[in-house]
Amino acid sequence: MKCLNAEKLMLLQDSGEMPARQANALAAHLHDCRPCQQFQHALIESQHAFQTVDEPSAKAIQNVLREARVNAPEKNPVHVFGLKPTLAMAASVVIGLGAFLTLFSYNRVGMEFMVTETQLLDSEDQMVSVMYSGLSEDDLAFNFLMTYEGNGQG
Amino acid sequence: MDKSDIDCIKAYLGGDANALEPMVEKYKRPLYSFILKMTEGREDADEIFQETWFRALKNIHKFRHKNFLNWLFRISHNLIIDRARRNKKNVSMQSSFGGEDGDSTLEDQLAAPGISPAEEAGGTALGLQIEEAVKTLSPEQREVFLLRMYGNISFKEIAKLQKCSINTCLARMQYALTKLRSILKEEYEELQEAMS
Repeated sequence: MKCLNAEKLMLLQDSGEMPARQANALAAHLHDCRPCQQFQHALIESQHAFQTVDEPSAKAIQNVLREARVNAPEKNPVHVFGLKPTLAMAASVVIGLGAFLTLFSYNRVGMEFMVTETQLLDSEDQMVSVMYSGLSEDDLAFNFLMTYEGNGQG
Repeated sequence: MDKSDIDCIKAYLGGDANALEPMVEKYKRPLYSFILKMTEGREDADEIFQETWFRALKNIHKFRHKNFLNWLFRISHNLIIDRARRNKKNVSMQSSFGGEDGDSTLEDQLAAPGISPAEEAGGTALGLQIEEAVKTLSPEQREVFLLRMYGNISFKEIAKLQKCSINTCLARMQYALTKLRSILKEEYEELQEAMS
């Protein structure tokens, strides 16, 4: 192996891009070649010498973080539309069930002829019934007394 | 891509405005170190650092790369080129200086005007010597070298970024390493002693 190729392989090995099949050949070359050993040392030494010690100013960092906050996308809304198929199915079941009960319920005919006690009274009594419905016995007695006294005075 | 990066990006896109803070923190040093050595002084580097993140934030919903740091380096690479083009209006400054690739310019060879004497005094002797040594490389060599050192970017990615073959990238790196070693021979020996 030529030194020039060995140097390239060392660089590729360092970046994790060297084909595995070349590893043995490179190791054998390095074992015997002093200039290539020096090149390898230069690579290792550079990695120690060129460490990342520089930092941007605090202002630059603040500007970046502020920009990130300003440009942040809005929070995702709750995905109600994700439930669309489920909601549609539930709605169709309810409608279908309603229609079924309406059409096939056997109480339906009887319900049409159901009348209340109030509806059986004549119109004058219906009005009285409505007026006094919900009143206690004491209230009714008081009303009767007031009506009687009123008639007596007249 | 790093799993925590994916989580951060997803959280950010989901509306968590502070979700990218750990990523800014994690990548600030490698990104800034690269930008600082590719530009002229801290002021320029701060601006490009911010602009890189602004562009990344603007397009984060389109992010499909495997590696977020690679993407940041790619954006900063484009910004550095744009800025260099804008700054190089003076034709005489652009005339070739006869570097290894024949594309090194006189401007590349000059000391960075952005570094103040105070900053120079604050830096370590080794740090300054490294900076000076890196400036002797052509921009392409410097970029390959710094992307490898600071970003651990693969040669395949660097080749895409520089629009050249992997072989060309490897040659640039070989040249940069050999040259830096010859310039920083004493410093490397000191480092070697300290490490052993």
